[in-house]
Amino acid sequence: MIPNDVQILLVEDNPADSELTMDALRDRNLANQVHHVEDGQQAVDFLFGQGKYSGRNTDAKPKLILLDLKLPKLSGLDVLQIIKKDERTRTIPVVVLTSSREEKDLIESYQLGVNSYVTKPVNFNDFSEAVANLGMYWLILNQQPE
Amino acid sequence: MEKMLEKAEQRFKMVVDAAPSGILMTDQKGKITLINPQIEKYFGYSSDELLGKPVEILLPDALKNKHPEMRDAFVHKPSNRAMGAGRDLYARRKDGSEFPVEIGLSHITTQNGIEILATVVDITERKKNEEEIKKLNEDLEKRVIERTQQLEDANKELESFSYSVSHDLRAPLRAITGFSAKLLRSAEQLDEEGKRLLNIIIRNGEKMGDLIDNLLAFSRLGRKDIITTFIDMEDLSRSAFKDVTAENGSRSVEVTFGKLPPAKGDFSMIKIVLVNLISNALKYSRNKEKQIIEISSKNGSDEIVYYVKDNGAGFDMRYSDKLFGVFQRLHSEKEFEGTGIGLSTVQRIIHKHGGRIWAESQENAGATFFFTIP
Repeated sequence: MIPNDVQILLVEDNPADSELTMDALRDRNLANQVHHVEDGQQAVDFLFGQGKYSGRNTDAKPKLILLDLKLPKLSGLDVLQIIKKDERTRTIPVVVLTSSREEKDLIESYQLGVNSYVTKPVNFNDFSEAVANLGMYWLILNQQPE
Repeated sequence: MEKMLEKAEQRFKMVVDAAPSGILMTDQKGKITLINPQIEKYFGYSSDELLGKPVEILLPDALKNKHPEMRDAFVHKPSNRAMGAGRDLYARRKDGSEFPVEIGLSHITTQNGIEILATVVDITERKKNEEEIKKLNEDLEKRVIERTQQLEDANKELESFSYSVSHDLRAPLRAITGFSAKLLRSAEQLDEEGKRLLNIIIRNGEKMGDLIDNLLAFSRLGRKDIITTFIDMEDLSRSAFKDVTAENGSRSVEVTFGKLPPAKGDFSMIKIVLVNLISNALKYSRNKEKQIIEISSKNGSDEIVYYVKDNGAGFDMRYSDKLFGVFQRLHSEKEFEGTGIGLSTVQRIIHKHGGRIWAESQENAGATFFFTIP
């Protein structure tokens, strides 16, 4: 099945993190239109309708990409660079959601044009709240060009 | 009279012959008029073969043609000097081989007019030594470059290590605390004891998260360069105090800001120092009925000593050397929670600034932390 109506693309290889993220989104009724991929290549394939996603309507862009940095195949920074370089995907808001607190990652992400950078808190309540707030902000408060 | 002359001549010959360098004289036209045995030894000619010959036969081919001109110039404006200063000079032996020399020139005026006196030193040995030194220096340079590279590699390795620590250690921790919290939330079947145990798991997971964060910040400090600016210490102390009390929730604290002259240092690092010292002061005095904190300075011998003083639990001065060690704690976790990294961070920053930090205390009578920023 090729998902077309996707509002949030979650790019996360760690199953525990993705489950906790989905939980947090579900708490705010934001989980229905989440599509979850587990590596950088799948994320790119999804966005450009290629590979196992060939035929997907790429005009239906997600409203938000939640991107982990440490991913198999293509890294999060690679994916970010591809997204922000291509006109078709440039306007999609990308939020890096990562464990890394390294200054280097932060700077590079912003240089590549990330819309937001959030470090995953270890504390569960803080984590849930951070994810839920991100979802609410980007899906409901934020205005995007149609 | 003649005998005296003869004696003088003999004496002169003895001096010339015994000289350790080669001595050679020519007339104005460059004809060799005198040589000593050292010259014979250097060049492989006998004196018969050289006397009366143009001096140019002792020169390498490359110089032979230019030399008469230079010789004329010297005769017209004679001086006592080293020949070819700053250049490498070579001479030519009878067998055609060349060797490096150093030549000193002087002139004497006799009844035959000006004669030129040249002292020649064979510097083959010295050259060889110079080459050797040069080579040793180059080797040393190369070794320094290699070592530097090794150090840089080690540093990079450490960086990627702390990177993995930052990323890979925090992820499983989040799973532990996250799923424990999830279990706790949906746990009708859990009794009080079960909930208590889960809470312990969560608390400890979070504590380990703090530890990792603090350790990373501590190690990052080592790599960070100091950016020096003028710091309004009173302003910074007030804002640090505000930050700390905002975080800890306010209780009535009596705080006084004394004289706090400006300092020169890294703004964000000195702020970390103040935040740590103030939050310690608040933490260790929280069991007192009234918390009294003083942030001020006094004049040392030729420096300003800043201090943060509290009226809290204090510590036993016998253990004061442990105060600033990483993971060293003087209070139990039950009395006062903490990671044991705060004061090591503070000390590291002060030392990076070339300053000193120390503490004075009496148990149950408060503690004072002093520091200088030169």
